[in-house]
Amino acid sequence: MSSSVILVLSLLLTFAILIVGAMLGRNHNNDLEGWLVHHRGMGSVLLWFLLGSEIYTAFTFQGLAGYSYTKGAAGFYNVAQNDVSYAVAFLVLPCIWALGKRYGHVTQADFIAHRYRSRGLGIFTAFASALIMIAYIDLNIEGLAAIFHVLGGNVSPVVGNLIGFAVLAIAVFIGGIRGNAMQSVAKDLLMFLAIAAIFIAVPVHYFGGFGKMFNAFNTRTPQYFELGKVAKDLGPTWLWSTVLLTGLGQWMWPQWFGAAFTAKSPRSLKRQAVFMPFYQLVKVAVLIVGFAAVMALGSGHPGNNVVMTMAKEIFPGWALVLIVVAAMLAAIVPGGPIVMTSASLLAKNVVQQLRPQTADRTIFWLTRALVFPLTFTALIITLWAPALIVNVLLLAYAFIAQLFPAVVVGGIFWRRATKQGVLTGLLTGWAVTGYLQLAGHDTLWGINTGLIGLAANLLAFAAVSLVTPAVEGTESVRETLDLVAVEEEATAGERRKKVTTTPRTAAEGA
Amino acid sequence: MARLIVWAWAFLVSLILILYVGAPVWFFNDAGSTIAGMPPMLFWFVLLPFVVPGLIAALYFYDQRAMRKLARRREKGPNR
Repeated sequence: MSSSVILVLSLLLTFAILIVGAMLGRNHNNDLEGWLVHHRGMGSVLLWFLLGSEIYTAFTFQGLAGYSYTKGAAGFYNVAQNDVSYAVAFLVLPCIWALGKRYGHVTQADFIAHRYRSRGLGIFTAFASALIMIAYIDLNIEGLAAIFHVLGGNVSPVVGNLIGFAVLAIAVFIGGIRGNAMQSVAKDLLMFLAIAAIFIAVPVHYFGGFGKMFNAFNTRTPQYFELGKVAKDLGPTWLWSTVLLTGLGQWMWPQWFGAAFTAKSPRSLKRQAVFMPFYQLVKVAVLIVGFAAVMALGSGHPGNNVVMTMAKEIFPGWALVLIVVAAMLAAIVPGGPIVMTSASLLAKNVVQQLRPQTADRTIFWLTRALVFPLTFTALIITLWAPALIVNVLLLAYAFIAQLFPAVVVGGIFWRRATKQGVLTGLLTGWAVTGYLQLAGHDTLWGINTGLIGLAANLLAFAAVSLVTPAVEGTESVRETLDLVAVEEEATAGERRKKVTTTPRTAAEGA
Repeated sequence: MARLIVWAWAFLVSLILILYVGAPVWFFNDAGSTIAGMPPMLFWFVLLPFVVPGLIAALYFYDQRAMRKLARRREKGPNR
């Protein structure tokens, strides 16, 4: 089967899955709350797939293997990051859910504007985070581009990316968040199958088995399993500072923050925190594939391409089609919630706040329409400045994590935090991080510069908050936990009622 | 009760951080030896995704009981 046939077949299958998923999810999409957070009614299973799909993307499928291939043990940071963030989410997300339900928040900016009683702060954070999120769409487009680069054929990467993301925009427009969750089920299952197939085939094909592969790791490339050996500036200090930054920053991404609002109850969010770490095994498998690629392919390949290059060498045409479909879905589907959230932030939290007379219906349609220009902007940036997927992600994290003091420290734990403190902290954090990054420092004294920015941000946030008037009427963490407890009890009560009434109904029916 | 819930959570976050960034640096950053046939760092990162769900599950069950108590106290009213 030629590369062109594989590409065209894969594109057709991918588009079919996207459209079917969107059609299945289009019910209840008649207003913004339905389209964006599915009326806070998503159950544990669908939520697991939705969160999994948003977190495990083209970055997991291709970028992570590329990182262990080029940077060695530093790639392990990403396994640590997600598990730390799941532990953080255990308490933080239910609190945000409970406050969101009480006050009708559907976006992160709603939460910030309400907590600090500041429309202006809501507009500012909405606009800034919508811009940062474009970087996240970028990394998924990079993933899609890598597929076209490796498989070649007659379909050019530019045309392929254009078609792929046009279909994504249409699917998001129709299906909303529930449609995306439906697509996520297909994407996650296919991605797991594809990664499992690659994970098993790589050692067998190139080394003759797992034992021989691990032995080769020990004897031929031991330096790849020690921090600071392959990439000198990515040593132990970089590991802890990056895990701390990204672990705290993960839920600051507005699309993941927003996923918290889709849950049926706070307890289903806590259940996610227990089960999500199992996804990390997929990441470890991908990292191992990257380490194996060092010996299988030799060094010098572009990191983003190593997974697809090995898949092309190993698998027959029909299997390669399925792997390519999985990789395409991993690049396209996670883009959905990012584009949706970005669009809603701009429409609801910027346009409607600046023009309050705009009707809700107009905002709903504006949000859906914005999906197209936002996707196109991300595509243009990617084509103009291509980069290693993980580098795009780490840079974006350095900026988005600066929201941590505003959202978690002040939003849940510290009532004394003020809007002036948040604004000063954010500007300080972004300025410090931006300056260091522009000066060419990804790290300073081995520390991730995003964390240095966050430390400066926290200091400014605390100092300014203490000298400005406190916000009246905000919940303490104790009051917020009370809300969570009541919601959990109510959901458990409903479940108990269902269990006790079902047999009676059945008996009556008989 | 709310304070205990927050402390239990903070303890778990700290523990997972130490397991992920302390232990690899202190005990497993040495490619000279092997554990279960793997480089030590790889072994540790294969093991942790099995351990961490258990740790979070322990917090889950503790939290579930604590939350029930919290809800009951709230039902009884402000003089708790």
